Amino acid sequence: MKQWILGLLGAFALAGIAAAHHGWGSYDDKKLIKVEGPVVVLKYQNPHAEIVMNRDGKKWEIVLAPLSRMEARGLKREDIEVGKPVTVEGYARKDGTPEIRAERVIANGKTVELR
Amino acid sequence: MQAAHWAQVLQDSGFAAAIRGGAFVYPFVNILHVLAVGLIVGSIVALDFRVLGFARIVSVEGASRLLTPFAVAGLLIAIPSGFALFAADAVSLSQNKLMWIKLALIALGIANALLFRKLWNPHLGAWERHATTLAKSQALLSILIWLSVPSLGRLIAYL
Ligand code: HEM
Repeated sequence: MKQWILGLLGAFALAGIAAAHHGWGSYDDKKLIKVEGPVVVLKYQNPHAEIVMNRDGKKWEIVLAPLSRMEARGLKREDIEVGKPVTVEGYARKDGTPEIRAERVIANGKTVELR
Repeated sequence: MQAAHWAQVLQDSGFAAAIRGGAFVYPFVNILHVLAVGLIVGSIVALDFRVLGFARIVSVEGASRLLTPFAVAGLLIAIPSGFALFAADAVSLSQNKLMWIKLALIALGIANALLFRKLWNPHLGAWERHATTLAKSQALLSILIWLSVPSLGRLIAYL
């Protein structure tokens, strides 16, 4: 009995450490970044749509949201197209990977919150 | 890390594209996966506690007859639905450490259950009061495994 309670606590402690290092915590939400320009690559897919945009001479992967959430909030598939300009506001990864998690996206004249 | 060739091939397959394609396929498969997980964990952990000596009013054999089919059904749904979720994003998931630890633990959990059946199935009826220490250790291990697997599954999204 005592053994397995200890084991369980151990497992959850490990889980806690893993969670603390990642998740939304992996993005720096103290610093809102704005990226404007044409969409270079569009992956309209689950579990998250992704686009690639150029920023400071680098290609940035921008993580949007699940398709059903974007559609529910009024961002339709045809609102984002390769070559068409969009504006994204979001947070960069803390570990330096050129990846941004989008808080909101402005496309086709609509501002859509993605969180 | 270099993307493994097989993961790229799987991710580029028509099957994987169908899973991530529509707005509703992925969430649907995700729901199936989670329901199956509930079935597995609920039934196996309950049976393990009976083996450990909880609720002696129920016979081990009776608990096993009731719960084992649910656990097996859960596994039979969780494995293909999990594979579909994996295929949708195979390249990045194949580089996720938690994904592999989870799969290894699933294999260990299944091996533990099969060994338990092989060793003890003929004796379950006679275990009115006490299971052997080995059987109890296996039940304990089983609880740890089947609580860790869904925890890891949930954590994959955070790594
Ligand atoms: C057999 C027992 C299994 C259990 C208890 C289990 C548990 C879980 C749980 C709890 C989640 C999180 C679901 C969510 O947060 O929505 C999950 C997700 C997932 N599982 Fe499983 N799973 C099992 C088997 C499998 C198998 C066999 C595979 C692959 C072959 C698999 C692949 C996945 C994938 C790819 C995800 C989504 C990860 C992500 O992108 O967040 N699972 N699983």
